[in-house]
Amino acid sequence: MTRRYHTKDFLNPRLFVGATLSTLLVACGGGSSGSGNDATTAISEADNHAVDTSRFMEDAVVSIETVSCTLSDGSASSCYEITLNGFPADRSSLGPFCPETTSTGANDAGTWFEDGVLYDLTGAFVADLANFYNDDNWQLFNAQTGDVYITNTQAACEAAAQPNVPANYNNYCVQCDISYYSDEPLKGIAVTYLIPATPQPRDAPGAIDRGGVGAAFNGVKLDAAAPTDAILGAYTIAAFDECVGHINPHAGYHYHGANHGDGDCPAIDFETDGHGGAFGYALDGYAIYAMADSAGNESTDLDSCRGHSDETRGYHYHTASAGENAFIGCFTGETAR
Amino acid sequence: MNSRNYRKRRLGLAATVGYLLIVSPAYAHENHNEAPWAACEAKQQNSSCEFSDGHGDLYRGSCQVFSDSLMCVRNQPIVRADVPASKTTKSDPTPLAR
Repeated sequence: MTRRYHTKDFLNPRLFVGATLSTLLVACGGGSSGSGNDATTAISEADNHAVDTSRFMEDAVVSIETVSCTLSDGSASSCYEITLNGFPADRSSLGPFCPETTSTGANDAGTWFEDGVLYDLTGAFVADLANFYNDDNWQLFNAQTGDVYITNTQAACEAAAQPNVPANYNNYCVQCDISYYSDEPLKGIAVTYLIPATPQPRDAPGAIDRGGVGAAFNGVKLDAAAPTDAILGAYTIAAFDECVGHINPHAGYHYHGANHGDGDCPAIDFETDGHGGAFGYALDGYAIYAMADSAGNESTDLDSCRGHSDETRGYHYHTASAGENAFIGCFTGETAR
Repeated sequence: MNSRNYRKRRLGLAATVGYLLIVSPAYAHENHNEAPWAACEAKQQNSSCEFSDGHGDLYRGSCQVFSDSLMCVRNQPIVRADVPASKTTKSDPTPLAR
């Protein structure tokens, strides 16, 4: 199954709903040329590096073609049409997501984020949601048995994993199994991305829409911010695994945050100069790197999109932390229409 | 409209309102506005914003558009607080944040 996202897709209510579900350290080496904290960076030609498609893991790629495209400013350009298989090529399994019972520990449960912090979605966390959110309507478990209410079937997952959750699926921990949407092991829902072969800087930042943020080198979609208001408003938790990813019927497995090297989530190597490693491309063609360097420090000169330039990497982004429901803030470059 | 029909309509309206209030708690609870979104209420795109997490750490950045809504996206290093965590659970006294 392949899903390619274009603006017109979001005029289709079914795709719109699906995408909504889906709708999240040292200052970079020498020569940083960031222009401050509140505006996008002026990008010189030397800092405008072309996309290198060889960075995508071999097992993640279904196909890569060079095609003509039209960018968001209306200009004609050349883009890479990259189809990725949607299953992380650096892992052999997904999850765990929801805890089975209120006794389930962190090793057998996933994660959830709130106000910038990534929490272990343990049974104890679920048992205390009413306190956590200061709302007595939370009751995600059977008080007699301690069993957590989990969407354990495809029908249940699809009913609960949408903005207008039916009342009978309020107070559920929502998880879907990739086997509902893929017959083959280690395959997900393939997604095609159209990315400018050479980034084209914009005059003003571009907003991130339901088409998402970009693509990880391991083949997984980097999605826009999860609609936590709708999720929590229905007293549901759309459980993430340790890599801050979860599954929905339309995007398949996708990320809402970057948590490399934590627990079972594969790490990405630091670069030789100690700069954080890259893990994907944004839809405008600029690479996205880890938040921090090998010393644990963050860059101090990021623009509003969370990007800046250095002599080695040119203009690039740094992801936000795993609990911030975001990778980058906006697009510094034009995206393909 | 005669009084019998009027009574029927009032009963129907009451039943509908009652159903929405009792059966569907989501309708009575629509203010789960998380801090990154709340920090940009009544602000414009690119306005400065900040919010704190459950541990008192401070996140400073600017309001950016995500699917037609403004959300505070940090672009400065997190300012760590030395205060104890406020969002842990009663059942587990250790902070559950990773």
